[in-house]
Amino acid sequence: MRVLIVDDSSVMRKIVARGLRQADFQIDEILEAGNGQEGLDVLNGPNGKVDLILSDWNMPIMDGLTFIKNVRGGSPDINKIPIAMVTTEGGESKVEAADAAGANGHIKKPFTPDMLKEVLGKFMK
Amino acid sequence: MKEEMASLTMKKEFASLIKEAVHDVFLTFLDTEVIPGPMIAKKEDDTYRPPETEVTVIINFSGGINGGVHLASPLHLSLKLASLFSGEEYDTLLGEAGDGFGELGNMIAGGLQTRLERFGEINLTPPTIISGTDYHMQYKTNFDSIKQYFKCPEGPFYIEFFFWAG
Ligand SMILES: [Mg+2]
Repeated sequence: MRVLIVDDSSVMRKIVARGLRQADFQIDEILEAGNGQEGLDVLNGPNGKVDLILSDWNMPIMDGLTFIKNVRGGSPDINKIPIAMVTTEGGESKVEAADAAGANGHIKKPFTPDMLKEVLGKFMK
Repeated sequence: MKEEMASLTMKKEFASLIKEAVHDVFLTFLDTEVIPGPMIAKKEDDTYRPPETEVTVIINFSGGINGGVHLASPLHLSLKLASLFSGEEYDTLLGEAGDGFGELGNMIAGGLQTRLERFGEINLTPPTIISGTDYHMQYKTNFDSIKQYFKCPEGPFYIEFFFWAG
């Protein structure tokens, strides 16, 4: 399967990708974006068909919450893709806001491969 | 609640929350040992002075608590920790190493944020990094603060939690 990782930290994108591989998921390709706007550009681009999106919250230009809202309000090609937040933001109201916007899961940094497995298992084939 | 924050009992609790948050990040992402050292609380009559270390990651808190977290370390240690985190070798903090070291500070601050939820919802700023030797940082002089020191085989660092007890 194909996964899109959206995070403004290039190192964090690497760590998330490594975590996915360590969690033994069957990953064919990992796409990366540095903020929500870049994420939308990837999804709406010619090569943007993905099975899962992992998104950070705090990012410049377009944050994770706005990104989720845009994906859910986007074209039928992208608006049903499962999205999990991968973020240091674990506060209750933040989680509620993300859920209300259409997030399907939450992973708090720092995460272990086991935590990825637990939250993402249901989305992975 | 605000006055309570300045008490020594509370500061000891903050120190143990910092230790938990640091331990979580090191255990999960850095394959190295970390040993907590002393905790140093700012004396009541002292004015607040920010770190003067070679590298400081700053993450500010607003909302339930106003203040923030500093991750302060010598340059060689920040490069080493950034490289343990990403698996790459670095000789400068500019670019990816700084990004990684900032993210480590961000996760430690996030761990503290979660553990301090009872003070109300706390918002975090993205990490800012100050590095070098010839600079002067200035904050409100009436911040209160505790510093929790740590040692790992690669060198020493500390986490400072600073807050405005109002
Ligand atoms: Mg971020």
